[in-house]
Amino acid sequence: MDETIIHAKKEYYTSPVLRPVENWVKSDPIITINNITKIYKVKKQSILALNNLSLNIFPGEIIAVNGASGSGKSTLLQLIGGLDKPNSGTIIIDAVDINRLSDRNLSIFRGKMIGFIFQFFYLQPFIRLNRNIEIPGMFAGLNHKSRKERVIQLAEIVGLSDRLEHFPSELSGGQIQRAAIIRALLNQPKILLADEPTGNLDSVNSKAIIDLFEQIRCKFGTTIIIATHDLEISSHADRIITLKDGLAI
Amino acid sequence: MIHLGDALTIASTKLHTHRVRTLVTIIISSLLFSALITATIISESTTNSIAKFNNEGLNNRYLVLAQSDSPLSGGVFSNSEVISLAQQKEKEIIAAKKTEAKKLGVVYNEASEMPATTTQTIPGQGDSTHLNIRSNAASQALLEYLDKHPGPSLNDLNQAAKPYNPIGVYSSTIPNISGGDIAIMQDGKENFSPTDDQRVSISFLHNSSLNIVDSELTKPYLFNNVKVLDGNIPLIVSYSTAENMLGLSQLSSSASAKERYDRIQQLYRQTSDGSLTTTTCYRNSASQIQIDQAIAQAAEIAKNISNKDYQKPKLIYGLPTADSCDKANIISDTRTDSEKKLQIAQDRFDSEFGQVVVPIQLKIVFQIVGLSPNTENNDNTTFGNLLSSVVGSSLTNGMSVIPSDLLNQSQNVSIIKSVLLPKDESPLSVSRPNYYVEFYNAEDARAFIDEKSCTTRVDGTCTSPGRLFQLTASGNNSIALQDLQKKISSVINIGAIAIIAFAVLIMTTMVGRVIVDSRHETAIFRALGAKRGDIAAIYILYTLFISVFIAIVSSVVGIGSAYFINNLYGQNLTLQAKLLFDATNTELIFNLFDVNISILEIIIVVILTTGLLSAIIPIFRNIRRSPIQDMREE
Repeated sequence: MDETIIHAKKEYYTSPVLRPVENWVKSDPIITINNITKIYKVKKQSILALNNLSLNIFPGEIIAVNGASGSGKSTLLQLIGGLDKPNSGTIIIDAVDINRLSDRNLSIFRGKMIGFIFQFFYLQPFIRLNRNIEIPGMFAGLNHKSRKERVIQLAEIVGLSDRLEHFPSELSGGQIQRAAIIRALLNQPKILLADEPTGNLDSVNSKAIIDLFEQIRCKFGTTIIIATHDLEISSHADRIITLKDGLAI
Repeated sequence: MIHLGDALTIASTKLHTHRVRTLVTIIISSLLFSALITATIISESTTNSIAKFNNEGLNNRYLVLAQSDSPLSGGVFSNSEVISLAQQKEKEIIAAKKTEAKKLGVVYNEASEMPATTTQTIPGQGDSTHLNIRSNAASQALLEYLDKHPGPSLNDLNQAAKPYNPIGVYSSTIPNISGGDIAIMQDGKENFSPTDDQRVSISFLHNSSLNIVDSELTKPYLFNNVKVLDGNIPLIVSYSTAENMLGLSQLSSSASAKERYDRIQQLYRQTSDGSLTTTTCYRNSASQIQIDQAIAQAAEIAKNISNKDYQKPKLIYGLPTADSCDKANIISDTRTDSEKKLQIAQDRFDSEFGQVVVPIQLKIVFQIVGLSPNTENNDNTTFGNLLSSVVGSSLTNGMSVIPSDLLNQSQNVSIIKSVLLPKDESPLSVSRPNYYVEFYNAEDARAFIDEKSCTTRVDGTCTSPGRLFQLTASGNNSIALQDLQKKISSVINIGAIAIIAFAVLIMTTMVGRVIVDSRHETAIFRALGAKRGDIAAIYILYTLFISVFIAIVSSVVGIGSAYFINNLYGQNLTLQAKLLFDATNTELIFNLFDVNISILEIIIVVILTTGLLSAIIPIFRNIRRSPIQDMREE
């Protein structure tokens, strides 16, 4: 493992439930990225999104992936999330080489292991919040009772208990993003991938989201990878990975 | 795999998300399918209604008219065998007459004998000898010849029809009343007007001639429970004849359907109890000669009433009472005994050589026992008349018809038969009955016509040997109508296929657009753990939602439209159909709103299937796409 690409911020790891950061490097990484390269072809032009990138991410870490637009932040998240495949290299998540999984198994794996949070939330506008949050559970085949219990539990954590019967249009931006976060947590994933999660929020709500990530990490031990160009957000991460032209710098 | 209820929840959101597009899809597809449903209901109802109306008259029967060539066709008048026989007969008759005349003491002049043959010189072709049919010798020769060459028989027809499984073979005979005439007794009285054209002939009654027809063919036209009174001759007449008999003026050609139908109803009201009769008087030629003589003598005597030199005839006939149909009575007879003896001898001589000398007269009461549609006025120059000629049925072209079984039940059948069906006495009156062969279906009837009908050449022989009858579809146009129904059915089928294809195209386009527009959302779902099958299930259910909406709207609009059309046109169509099909049943209704649930179910299944088919390609394309590609394109 290349120790140089890890920029740990030890002072953040004060939570008693967390393992000391020193132990992380000693434990097995939950995500191992080995020499991945991703090239997109746009109108006969090849664009190098990621260039021979290697990375280890440990359980419970909060990672900020920084970089300018087109630096490969989102691509990295999508490859980790199994939404796309690298041109070369491997991605091992929880000891599983996800590039070798069939589409169906990858979907199942993704549903159980990974939660996605998007900048634009993507809640279904015409169904109530509780049903919106249940959607990943629907795809995972969870029964309605289990889903409902989890939604209530998660909504309580993020303070949306009284909003569950509302439609998304009746909520504020911050509330919608919190709803999107607990939607991502519904299947109790080990990894949370957040792509510009505060890009559409004001500073107050952004701070609240960061706090919520902390809370999630503390409560569930979830590994959280945040793609952001917001340095304020990044400053709250355990490590910051800065990408430029597909390379970690 | 996503649970059905959850897939339904997500699919239902698409109805809101793509509201306008979904609405447009539902409206256009619903209109198409509602048109299909309306067309199907109306088509099915029309078929059912036609089937009901087809049971009227002869409409539902597959009849083939079988006619053999006239016995007098095929050059029989110039046939050398007949000519030779006639010339021989001529000699024999002259010899016999000479002998008999000498024996009876009557004057016989050989020169007065009509020659048996005539010879014409045709330029370039020489002489051509023909029978002189007015000659007694020629008649006898021809009768003998025809007796030896009887032509195709009923047995021949049965044999020919047997391979086609006929239901039955019926006959229609034109009564032979050439030995006399039947005249109408207007108000029960004979018209003894001096000129023939003022006398009311039987042709007034039936427009062309009488027919005696097997009851199997006349049943549809008979009144219910009508009883033929003793001595009456049962008769089925056309509407126009009945109008004449009732003294009703003919409707104008521009009369509306309602007026025409009302007239028919009126005719039935006034005749269906069997009370309408017409009295006629039959006289053979001897009787008619005496009546004519009485009329002529009365006129001559009246003319010479002041002429002192005028000598009245020695034998003067007087007219019988007008209501008696009796023979002419002798008013005065001043002939000497020798003159009387000579007349008796002459009568005997004439009688022996075939002349009718005994007057026969008979009052015949025709009782109307049924009505048949007019056909004589159908000139096919209007669409209504043309359609009527296609779908309507007629009984021997509107002639007056005597049902054979009712005739046989008649009390004085033997007398009537002797008048109406005398033994052939002249070759000109020799007729062969027309036969009607009935089949179970149009196919058998058509095959029988195609394979067994004789098409005659100029010389009277058949183009195909062994074909003895000229065969034509008759009584109705069932065979043509069935072909027409098949064509209409195939047009509706093609229309249905076109509608379905168009609906598939529209739904494929619309659903395809919805799916394309939802690619990003699909990618999000994939990110949230959705499998391809989950995505497919959502869109299949979405399509199913649309299809169900289309099925509901189509059914409501389609059924409603058919109901509306039925209300708008049903009554008038009933009227038209009753006229077109010559229906006599007043209860019949031409219903355009006869919903067949099975067919409706099939159409609903077609709509749902169409919806699913239209979604297959877009869904297949969608789920094969990389989710990240769609996320990036956003």
